[in-house]
Amino acid sequence: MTLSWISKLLSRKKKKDIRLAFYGEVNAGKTTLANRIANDLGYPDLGPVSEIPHETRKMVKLENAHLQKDGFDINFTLMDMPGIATTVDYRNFVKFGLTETEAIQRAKEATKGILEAIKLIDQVDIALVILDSTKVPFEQINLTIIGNLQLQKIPLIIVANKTDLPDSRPELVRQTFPDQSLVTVSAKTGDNIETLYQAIIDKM
Amino acid sequence: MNYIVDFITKNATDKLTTFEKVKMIIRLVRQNRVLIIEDGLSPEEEAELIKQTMNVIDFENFIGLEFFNWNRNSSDSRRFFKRTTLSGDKYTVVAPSAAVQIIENSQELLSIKFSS
Repeated sequence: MTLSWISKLLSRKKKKDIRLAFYGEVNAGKTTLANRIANDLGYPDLGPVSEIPHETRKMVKLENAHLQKDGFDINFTLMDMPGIATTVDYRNFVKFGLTETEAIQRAKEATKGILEAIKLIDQVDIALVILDSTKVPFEQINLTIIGNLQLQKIPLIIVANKTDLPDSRPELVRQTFPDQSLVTVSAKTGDNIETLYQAIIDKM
Repeated sequence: MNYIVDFITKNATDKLTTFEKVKMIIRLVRQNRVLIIEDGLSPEEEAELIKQTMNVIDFENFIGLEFFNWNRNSSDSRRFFKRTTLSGDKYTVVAPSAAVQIIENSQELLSIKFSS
């Protein structure tokens, strides 16, 4: 039994191809973080960032992103997922200046993106669950994402993002998820990103 | 717009498959009902609820729903209810998004106004 456990641990340590997914609610900063990591690994941005909700409406993948650190030699596939929501209202997009036709099209694409993000959960090796630390962390959508990752036994790291903003309350995120791996970062400024890399390595 | 609150017992959902339970929830929510489901949703059922919701959003009459889970047996004495990710002893509230306006959302209190 013990040998089997050690063998499993060693085989995980050797694993070099990791599908790292970015999950979270809409506008939590998933693409900003994915771009930050891609840039750090020497690649261009995965996708555009916007204040208009549902900017990422299809999963964007970056394959063979290479990281060498602390003796690890890892090929990441970064999977930037569409933000998950239970409501899609095109009128919210009109408020940002989109025409009604553009807004409805965006809403249709957003619903498909949400479906895609949920369906792809079982293809993920490690999930980063990105939370906007300026908001309350116990939004149901966060609990649902975390619950489903736990159900699939996918290692996850909660990323309390946007710590550069004055309203950020990462301590509330920590209080809400005391039993989870948690890293506080600013994807925008890169603050504490090294800690996140270490946390990812620790999950392997 | 008037909303009806339905208290759905464990008996009513016990024998339903995940698909059937979620289908029933969406059918009722689209009829402007607010549901209190005694046998709360598991994470798997929550994911199915989101998937089926995305398939029926029509952007005019139905823009989605909101749901909230509460653990009934929190060991944390500071709170009567504990918001939870896990399945088990919890109940779920589901409501049409168009009706829901969140007044307060804290560890201790979730306050919702229903209006249209």
